[in-house]
Amino acid sequence: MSERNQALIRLEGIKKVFLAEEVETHALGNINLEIKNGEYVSITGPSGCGKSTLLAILGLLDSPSAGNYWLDGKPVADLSFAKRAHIRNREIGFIFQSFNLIGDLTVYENVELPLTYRGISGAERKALVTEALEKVDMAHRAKHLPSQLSGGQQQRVAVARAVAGRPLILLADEPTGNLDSSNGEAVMQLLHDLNQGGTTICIVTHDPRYAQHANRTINLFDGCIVRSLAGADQEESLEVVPV
Amino acid sequence: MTGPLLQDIRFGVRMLGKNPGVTLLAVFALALGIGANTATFSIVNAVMLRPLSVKDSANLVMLFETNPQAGIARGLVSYFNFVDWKEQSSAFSDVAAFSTQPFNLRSEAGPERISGARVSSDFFRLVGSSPALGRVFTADEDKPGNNRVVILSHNNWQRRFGSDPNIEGKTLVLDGVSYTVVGVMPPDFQFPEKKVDLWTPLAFDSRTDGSAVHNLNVVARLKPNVTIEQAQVEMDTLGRQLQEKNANGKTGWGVGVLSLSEYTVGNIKPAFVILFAAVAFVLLIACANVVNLLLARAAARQKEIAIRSALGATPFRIIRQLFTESALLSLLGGALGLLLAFFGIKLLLASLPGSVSIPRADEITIDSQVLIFTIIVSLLAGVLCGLAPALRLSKPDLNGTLKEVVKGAAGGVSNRRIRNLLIVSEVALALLLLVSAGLMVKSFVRLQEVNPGFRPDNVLTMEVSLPKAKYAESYQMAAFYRQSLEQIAALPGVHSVGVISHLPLSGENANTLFTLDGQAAQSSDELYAGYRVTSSDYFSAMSIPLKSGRAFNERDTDQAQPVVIINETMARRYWPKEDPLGKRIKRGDLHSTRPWLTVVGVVGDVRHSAVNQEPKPEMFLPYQQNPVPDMYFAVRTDANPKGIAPAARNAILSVDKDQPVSNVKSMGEVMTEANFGRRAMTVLLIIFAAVALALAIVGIYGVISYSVSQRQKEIGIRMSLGARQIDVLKLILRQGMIVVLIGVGIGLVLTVVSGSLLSSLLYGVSATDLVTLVGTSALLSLVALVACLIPARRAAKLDPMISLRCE
Repeated sequence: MSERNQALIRLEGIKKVFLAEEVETHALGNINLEIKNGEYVSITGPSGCGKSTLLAILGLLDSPSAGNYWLDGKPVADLSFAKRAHIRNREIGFIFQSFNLIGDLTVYENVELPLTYRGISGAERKALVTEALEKVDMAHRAKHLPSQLSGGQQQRVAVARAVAGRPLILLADEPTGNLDSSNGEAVMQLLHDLNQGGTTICIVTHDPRYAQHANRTINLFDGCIVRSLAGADQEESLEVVPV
Repeated sequence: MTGPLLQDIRFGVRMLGKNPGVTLLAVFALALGIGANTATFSIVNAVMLRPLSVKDSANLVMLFETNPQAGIARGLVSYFNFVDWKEQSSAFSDVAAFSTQPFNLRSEAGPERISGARVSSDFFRLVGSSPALGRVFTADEDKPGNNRVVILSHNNWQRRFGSDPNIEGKTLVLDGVSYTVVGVMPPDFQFPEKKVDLWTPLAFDSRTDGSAVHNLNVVARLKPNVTIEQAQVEMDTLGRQLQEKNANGKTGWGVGVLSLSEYTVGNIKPAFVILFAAVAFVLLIACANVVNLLLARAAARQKEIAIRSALGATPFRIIRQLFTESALLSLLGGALGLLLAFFGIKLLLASLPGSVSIPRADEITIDSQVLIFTIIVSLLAGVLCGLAPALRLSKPDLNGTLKEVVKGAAGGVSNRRIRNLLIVSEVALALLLLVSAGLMVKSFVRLQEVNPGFRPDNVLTMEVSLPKAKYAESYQMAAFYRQSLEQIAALPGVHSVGVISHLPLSGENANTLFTLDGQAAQSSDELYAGYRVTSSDYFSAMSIPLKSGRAFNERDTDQAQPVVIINETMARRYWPKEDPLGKRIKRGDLHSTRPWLTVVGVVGDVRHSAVNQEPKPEMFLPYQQNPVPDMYFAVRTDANPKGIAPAARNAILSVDKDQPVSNVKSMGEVMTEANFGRRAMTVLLIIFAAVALALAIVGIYGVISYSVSQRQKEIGIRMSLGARQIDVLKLILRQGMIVVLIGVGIGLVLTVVSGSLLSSLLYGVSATDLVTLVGTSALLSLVALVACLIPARRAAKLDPMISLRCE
């Protein structure tokens, strides 16, 4: 594991081009980015600017068309589907806008699922799941199905699932998008607490209120980073690269 | 490994329970396919695969005489050939002979006909079985005069003798002679037939058995490391040497060697191959349906699978999860299929006529081998069903899928292609089965139309077997038949009655070598004809037309000129341009001392061995001049022939109260039994074809319905742009029927290519019969059109506004 302030994620010249019926869509163009261990980074920008695509590449859900990507010092841009799955399972925790809990599994089983794929023993899984559910205050709902929970509760379960395996980084794509403001605030507070506990977090949001929870905000526009603000609006870098 | 697998199973069970409708449909489709396979395998297992109930049956072979020139493929063996083979062959550790023979058992309940086998003394050693009680025969008992000993089957001992532990030394009267019981065989020993009641020594006696009679079955055990092929080579050489030494110029004789199982069931192999192909196709069609269902469900599960993948599930892990689910489905289908097979077999066995038409049919059961087969077939079906959905889902588009809030659509063009491919396969295989069933039906109808040469309606048949001890002299046998015929003829309702030594289509036959008067002495041609002993009114009782000359009459006694009646085929073949009446023939070769027989009549041809076999030359001799102990009575009545059976039996008992009468059947029943194999095959193919058609139609309906549900928005747009209901109807029908017609085309090609396999089972119809091909194709296309029409009409009635709102 990286020491605090060391680069956990490093992107160099990352591009993403979608090809559909002879039409090329440039979703990301020449992204250079570093996220340090323990950082809380938010990615913002208008709809279609490439936020989610960037997060998908960060989370190894998608691979870049060009460029290099190091995760915890290891190159991960050109890995196979199975190897990416392996890293996702061990190093990355996901929180989605639509929660993405499996409706046929209980709260407990949903949180347990990534640990199962990791091949962890039953007893150890139980300890980790219980700890994660307690962290989000959902242990009492362990046997419920997602459909029996409110949206806020579902997202807390999703957070528990994301952190249960103690990943290097937590990636959240519009985690409050489907929640009312009070539930949204609660989830953001949860993420804040996790970061305070040492978890590296990268969140995509278009809501400036929630972006402010981060230590650093990265603005995307037309697939490029146009601004990166750290702390109290302190400009750390400004880079505009035409697509 | 176990933990995650258990989790997969648990989740799989939950997923099956979540969509009970889909699960039930899939399980039922698989049950039909697997059940058909299980039922067929259990038959094949019992009849062909399971070792016979004798020790090391794999090393047992049957030896038989062959003469291709005379049309004898598996001839019974003469005693002297048996002795020569036994003494001079080196490929076998043991050679034994047996002859199945019914006995008349005298009991308190009256005379009874029971099955027996005369066996040489080394028979029991060769088959490797010891008696449960007592001993086997000694070599000394295998000699005429010393052979009044008997060994009982376990079943016979239980049934007739109340499992008497002191049975040894007791006597029973067989064919009027006392035999002493020396042993009881164990319950699992049922050789050479399942229904054998007792064994007596062969004790060959050339005075009574006839030195030239070929009436023995010969069984041998191969020495270790000797193959059947090696044994055949040795027997070929031995056969040639013996022919040169003994045959007096007879040519064409050889020795055949076949494994016991091949000998017993080899001739029904082609039928089983076709049945297995049929049930395999039914299973493939069922699997195609289940794949369609699972693909539809897979589309609805894309998001779940994407989540699993995002959380780190590897493609292998996802495939395993999906295969676990399809395996659960197929195992459930297998369990239900096993149940269907169990009851199907019961139904099949219940429908068997009294005399067993399938060898070893009574051993057909669900045993451990059938269970293992069912599990393997189920798992294979599971893999087959799970493959396409697993491959579709194992590498999902994570980014796209996870962002969507609602997902339900199918995986686009490639999924549609898979579905169309499945429909094409289903239609092609269903057509293949339909054509096969159609051809078998047509063939069966053609067979029903064949004139067997006699009229089976209102004819009662009964068998008697006169014991040698009581009927040692020819005149005694002749007197018995004469009196019995008189008694039966006097019964009210009887038109005519006759006796015949070998009833047509009864499975019994005899051929004899004969010589034409004037045949050149140097001629090496050997002439053979079917040999029957009969009475004067047999031909009228069976309505066999007299073409020329006369029938036998009471003046054809043993004192009169020996006479013979021949059939038309024999007349045409040997006197093509002459009148055969008055010509002379004699049984045996030129040197035979048998008397010359004068042809006094020509009768119409009878299809003796099978309705689908052309008539062969046959000769009929009067019983007064050639009495034989085993005869069938044929009684033509004016009403239900079975109704007169008790009176006819009593008429025979009035002549000899100890004479049992067996095989009491109408001639119609005899024909039904003779055709049973073909009828059963036809019925099974019809059932399998009907199941295949039903599955294919459900598959087509399912795919088109699914397609309509996925294209609602497109249909709405088309309608909003001015498409009429008829246009939408045509659109959907065209989509469905193009796929169906491609399937029909491929099915027709497959039918033509595989036609040769079926042609051996067909009669009077070609495997590429145009009417059947066109008719079944039209039927399938029509039913498919109806299956497409239902969802097409639904699509045509869609409200464009609702459709357009539908995402």
